[in-house]
Amino acid sequence: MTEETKTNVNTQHTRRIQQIQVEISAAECDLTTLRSLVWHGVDCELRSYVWQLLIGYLPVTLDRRAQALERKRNEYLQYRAEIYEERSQHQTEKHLKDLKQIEDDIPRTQPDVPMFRDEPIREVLRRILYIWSVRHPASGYVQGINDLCSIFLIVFMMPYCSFRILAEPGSLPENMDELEADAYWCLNIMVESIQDYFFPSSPGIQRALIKISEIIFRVKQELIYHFKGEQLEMIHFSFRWFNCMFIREFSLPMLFRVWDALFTMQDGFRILSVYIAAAIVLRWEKELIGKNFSELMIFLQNLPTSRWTEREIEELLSQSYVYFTWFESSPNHLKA
Amino acid sequence: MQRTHDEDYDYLYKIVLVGEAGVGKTHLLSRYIKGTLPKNPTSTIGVEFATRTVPLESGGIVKAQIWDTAGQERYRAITCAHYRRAVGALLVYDVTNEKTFASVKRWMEELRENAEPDIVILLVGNKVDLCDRNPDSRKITKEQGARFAMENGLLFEETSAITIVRVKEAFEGLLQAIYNVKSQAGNTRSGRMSQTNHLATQLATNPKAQEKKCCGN
Repeated sequence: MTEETKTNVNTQHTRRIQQIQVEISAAECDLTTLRSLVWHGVDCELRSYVWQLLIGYLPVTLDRRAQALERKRNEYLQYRAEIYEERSQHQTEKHLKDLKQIEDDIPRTQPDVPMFRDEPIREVLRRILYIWSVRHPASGYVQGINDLCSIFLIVFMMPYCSFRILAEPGSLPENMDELEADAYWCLNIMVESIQDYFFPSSPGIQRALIKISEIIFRVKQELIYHFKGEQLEMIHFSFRWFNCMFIREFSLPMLFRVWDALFTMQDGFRILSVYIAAAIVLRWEKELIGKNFSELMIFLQNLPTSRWTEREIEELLSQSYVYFTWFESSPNHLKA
Repeated sequence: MQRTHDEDYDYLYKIVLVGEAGVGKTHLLSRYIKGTLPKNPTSTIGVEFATRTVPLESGGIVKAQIWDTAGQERYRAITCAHYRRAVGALLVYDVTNEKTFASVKRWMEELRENAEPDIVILLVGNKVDLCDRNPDSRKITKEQGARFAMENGLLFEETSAITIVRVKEAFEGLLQAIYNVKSQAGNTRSGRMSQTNHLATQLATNPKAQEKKCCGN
């Protein structure tokens, strides 16, 4: 990249962030405009606010936001008192089992983010997950929801502790109760959009697996034939992609960019995620076609994305969008 | 399909690692495959996969395909789908946790229903390092584990992935036992060969493997 194009990219970025700022502080936020701006990413300081708008937690009308937040935060504090603090009074066998599983998973949540080794943040995670599982008896706590929750916590804390949260353990922000409530509600809305991913037998994920296979088949038949020949099934490697929304597949900064994109689309976590998964597989089609079962599994479970930068993520997202426009609006295109 | 780019081995055995969540399945696998504990341990979602090629004490070289599964009960239906064509299993419990031992019977039944009919199962009592540090923490005695294994036709080991107690022995003992079962079964397995069975096909198209099988007969 020449100095001149670098400057151009930077100017574009600055302008886009300014536009996002204007949009989110407008009396009436236009979600369509905001979505198209955020597709290309958003800064850490703005991300939490933007996600909360896009997911529908914050109202689009500026005047109504403070009140809505206050109501939601109080509601959560009430759950915390009734469901969590007084849990011993109305705990069922199922609740206890979920709590045990949550306990097991807490030390295994974001183990390389130092802040998650501190008890105060672990207690926050414990409360959110327990309350969520009690309020969702149809699924209860499912492993992987801890991962999803951690992303909201990290992103929502970032404007207050910046990168400290990723770099070193430290004390929690003063408004942590509010951030905890916001994380609970956003997790709640997000998981509700993919509820059936967490029902017994994961029917939602099963459907996503069929769809990713169909998309890949339409783009590159040979690859699906190769997988079949090697007896490789989508479930072997991409179950985790959907269950944890790619959290285990990318570094955090890159993962945030993937989620930015997922938030920009109505029902993005259900729909766009499948196209992203297909784009991941197809990106390496040439490498994959030469691999046997074991090699395929090892490659697809350890994607070489650790050094990815914005550029690779942008490419992946653009390609996902291309597949989305080819197939999503014309399902026959997919079936043909 | 003839494989030319794989390393040299006589047999390919699919092994599954099962047991309740948090008993240490992934730790055992990491210790065996990499020689270290997982750097940043996370819960296993779906299945994680590893291979290791091992010379048996007697019988030749085995490539073990090891499938590490998610332990939460919620994932059972999904996990069962991974048992297909498995010829061996490590069924792991935590010697300091009674609940993980109480559910061993159910795991065993699910394995026998969904994997190969002659699957060799090794019952593994893990985390013995905790008992070394504090003898009171042990909830399942070695005798209890061994008795259950004997009554149900399982092999048995007590291990620690942390202090490296009998990890290699567990995996490789299982591989040897599978070999012994397979070689005793000998020609009676021809029925299964005729299926489009990945592993059986592997054996059938590997001339060296055929030869070994005859020797083992």
